[in-house]
Amino acid sequence: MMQSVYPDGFRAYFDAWEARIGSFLEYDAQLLETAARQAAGSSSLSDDADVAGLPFGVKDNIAVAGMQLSCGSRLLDGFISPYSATSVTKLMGAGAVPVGKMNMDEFGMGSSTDGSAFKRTNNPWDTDRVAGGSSGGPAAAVAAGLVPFALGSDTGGSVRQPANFCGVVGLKPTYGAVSRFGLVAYASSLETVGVLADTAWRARAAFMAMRGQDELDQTSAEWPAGAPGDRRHGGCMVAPMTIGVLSEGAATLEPEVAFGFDEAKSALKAQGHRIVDIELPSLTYAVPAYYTIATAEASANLARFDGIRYGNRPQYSDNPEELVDKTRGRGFGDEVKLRILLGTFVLRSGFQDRYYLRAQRIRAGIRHDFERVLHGCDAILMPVFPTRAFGRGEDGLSPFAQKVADVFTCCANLAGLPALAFPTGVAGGLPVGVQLVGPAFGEGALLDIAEAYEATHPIARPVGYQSWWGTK
Amino acid sequence: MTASLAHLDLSDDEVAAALPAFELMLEYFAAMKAADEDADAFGVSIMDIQLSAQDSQFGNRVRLDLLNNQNNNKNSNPLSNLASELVNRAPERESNFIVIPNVL
Amino acid sequence: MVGDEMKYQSFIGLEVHIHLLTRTKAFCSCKAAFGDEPNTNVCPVCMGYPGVLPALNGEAMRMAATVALALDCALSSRTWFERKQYFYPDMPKNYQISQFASPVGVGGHVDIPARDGAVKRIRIKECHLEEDAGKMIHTGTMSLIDYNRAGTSLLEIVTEPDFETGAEAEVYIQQLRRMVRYLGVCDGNMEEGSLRCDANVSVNLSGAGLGRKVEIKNLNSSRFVRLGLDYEIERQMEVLEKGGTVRQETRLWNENRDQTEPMRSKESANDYRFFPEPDLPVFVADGAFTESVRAGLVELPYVREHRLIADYGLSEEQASFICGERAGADWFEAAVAESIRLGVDRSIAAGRVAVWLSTDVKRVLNRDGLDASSLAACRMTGARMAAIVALVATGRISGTIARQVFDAVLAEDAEPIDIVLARGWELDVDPESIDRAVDAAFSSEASAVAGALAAMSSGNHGKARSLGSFLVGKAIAASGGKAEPGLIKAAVDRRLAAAASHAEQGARA
Repeated sequence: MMQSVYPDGFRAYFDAWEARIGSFLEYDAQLLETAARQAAGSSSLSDDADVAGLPFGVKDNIAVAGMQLSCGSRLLDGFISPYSATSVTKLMGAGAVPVGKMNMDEFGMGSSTDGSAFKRTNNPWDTDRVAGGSSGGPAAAVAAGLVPFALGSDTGGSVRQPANFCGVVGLKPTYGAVSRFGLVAYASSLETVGVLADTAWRARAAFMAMRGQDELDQTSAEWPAGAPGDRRHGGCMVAPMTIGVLSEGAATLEPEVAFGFDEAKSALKAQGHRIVDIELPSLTYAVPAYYTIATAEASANLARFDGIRYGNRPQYSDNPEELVDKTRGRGFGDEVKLRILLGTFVLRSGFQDRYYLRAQRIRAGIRHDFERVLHGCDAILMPVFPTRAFGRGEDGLSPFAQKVADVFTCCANLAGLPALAFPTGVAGGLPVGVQLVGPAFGEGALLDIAEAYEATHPIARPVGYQSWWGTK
Repeated sequence: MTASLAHLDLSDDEVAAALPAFELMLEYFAAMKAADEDADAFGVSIMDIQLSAQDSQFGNRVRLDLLNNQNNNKNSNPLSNLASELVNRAPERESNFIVIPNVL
Repeated sequence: MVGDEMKYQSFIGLEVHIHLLTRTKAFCSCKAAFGDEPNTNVCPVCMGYPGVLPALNGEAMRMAATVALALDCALSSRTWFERKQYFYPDMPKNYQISQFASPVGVGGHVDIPARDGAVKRIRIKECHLEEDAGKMIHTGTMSLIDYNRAGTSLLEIVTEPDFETGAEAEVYIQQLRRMVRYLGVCDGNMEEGSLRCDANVSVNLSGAGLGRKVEIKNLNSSRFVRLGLDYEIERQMEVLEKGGTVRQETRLWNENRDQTEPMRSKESANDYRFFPEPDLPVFVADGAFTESVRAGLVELPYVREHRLIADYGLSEEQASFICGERAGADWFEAAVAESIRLGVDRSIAAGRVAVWLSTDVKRVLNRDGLDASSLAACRMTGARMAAIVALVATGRISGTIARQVFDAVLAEDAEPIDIVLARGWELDVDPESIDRAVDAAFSSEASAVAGALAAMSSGNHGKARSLGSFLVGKAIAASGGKAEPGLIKAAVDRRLAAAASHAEQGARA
């Protein structure tokens, strides 16, 4: 339903919000205004998941030719990418326009976006709180209505958790469904490019435009014909599904989150879905296995940042080793250094068996556990994060606590399965939501469930939100 | 030794400062040991699992040995003809070489 | 000289890196060429830019598997890549994509001729595919890096420590070089670095097992392989003789000083922290793949040598020479086959072509600064060579004329028969000209004729033969060298025999 909008007001709207949330690191105001004008002028959008003419934000670890690619790091401050990521190129091919680069935790490592070397991104619902991470910029911008959708990356929950914190839809696709070419690697075997969007329908549109096998990424997969729920039903109607719900919590939930979860469960049941209790005992080992593998791969993926071929290097150094060490010492933040140290350690000969290899075995075991459960249901319903958006300083979560809280999200990355976070309500002034995990290439079914839910429970928006982009 | 392999230019003080968080994580990782015997958690004994690189689901992925300009569609490869752009991004260069202090 | 050589045992293992002749690099579509302007054959992938991914070159895998099969290795049914991590300025990602747990091929062997005509089996431990690093040039204050070579395909072939002497290693390198050239996967040029050899050498008391390994690098010719390894064995024996222990280190061969020296730079022990490359899926070498690789295998040099000896009755030396380059062997067999088609006996054809190859053809190639690998493009094609051989074998031209025809073919790029006819070089077989020539010789050398007849009647066959040959020579000269020597000889013998019986009759009458 299109709201009546004044294109001239968009610039003012954008500036006002950006001053409060700081989601962009770089943006092209011209492109944004043009897009806003076009969206205002166009009649109601067609049923065919269309992104034509829509602007989108891109997390600053996904390449857009001619724009910066800082990854939220001082080391790459000022670096302009000479090429675009395949996901970006495909969206552009479908008519969408990348309008800016978005703030993030440095190199994707964090759950708040406060790990960015440049600035903080605030939650549009309460600017004293974090936007979530590592795709906080994308989440905040979409929540504020600055763009209808944005690209993020999800390694252990980095699309879904900020989506959950900011009250927008966040999709982590099946591993390999979207090309990783152009995504600056953090943990190669775990991450995907994901979408944050104002509605489930929009998320689907963007996803369909960017998925598909890519010659430049040999881990990318051909989208299988006849994947579950791949045909859009038109939102309101969805065939009843069997949804498995975790009967025992893998972590203690904040009361508001727990309440919101139960409400969502009841609502889904009321919509006609069959709710069954399921167990995922392997989740006990998920977080340590996830961080072992992620830090190991990260330590290798970030080794290339040595200041020799690109990036910021010290003015003067005596020898190459000093050049490399100083580039990294000065360019990387503390969290990145910690993870590189851990990753280096768990791969060291003598320790590999105990840590890395064991983690990989656990990972295979977790995959097995999920497959076992998904035999009996179409999707699994889980919380996204134990708390709503947290505050800073004393009101925040310690770095360690933040990691442990990744339990609900990192398992989908370990198993390579698609997962969709969508908002289900507001509690105590902050968004609450849930997550659906499906079988490989089962995004369509998850989106169907979410779309149908949304039809009867419209997504809440923060105070001051205005819709510029039209919606079906 | 791990610190030197990581090339992060950490002084002794910095290493000491990072140690608590580092050790906390390693302690946390130690919980994984129980997984060896916990076949019930996974439905399978993880000790039986053979590790390798990821399997390709759809047959071997290989690239044809063709130069960029031999492909029919030049637009399909965003990487061709970027050489000079790449050299321009080097912090220090000389006659198209990339420069660093002498390796000795 | 150190004491009794049997007191010590030496163990040498070789690691040879060959640069594969793919058009593009191992993991990106950049041109894999040398000699171009620095940093022109580069892209974000081989320069280790942020956000890029490697993409395996199928031809590199096929070539690797080809070599593996040629070395009699078993192809790993599932092979994959691993990250070998270490920081160095010529390494764009500060890890090398290589292989570790499951290389392309394992457990092969190469047989080399050992002492006393025996054959020694060298076991191939494994061969694996990996990418090369960039190149650095060092000036006074700076080091300059060129990434053109970064990411090009290398195949590393690792042997067990089965070599005992530098000479054995040298033969292996030469054989390996010849083999990869035959397969068309590598040009084997050690001076340019297309084929590089590192060695691990240890010496120990006989029967005491492997000693402490020393790595030797910078052996960039087969000759230096022999000299360097022999030197190192001596050096280690001396150390042990003096009661010392050999230091486990990396040493460089110094070709100017003819010795190995410890590497100057402090190479701290590297923990490579191998783990499977997450960006490249497992490569399955299934039956179809293996069959296609096998189908692409050419006949290997050693095998071909033996076949040439058996099929054509050649000597070992001849076969070895002919098989030096695949193009040479192909040329040889084409020439022989065509000669046979033109009616020449098989072993005669083989013998003649072998001689031509090792004399006039070799001379011409050397003159032009080429080797046998250029034969495919040479004006003296196998077919033309066969034509010349056939012309001589059928008596249409003499051996001397044949060499002139050879030179003319090269100079004029013409067919031998056309040259012979144009210049009237064909031997005369006309009975009348033969008789005329013999008449001329007999009349000008009457005394020789008389002498021959006298020798024949008195039973002095030796003298008769030599005078007969003299007359044959004169008759050939009388024909201006054009008469077919065989026919002249037959005519001279006939005339002499007739004259002898006539004289006999006369005597009886």
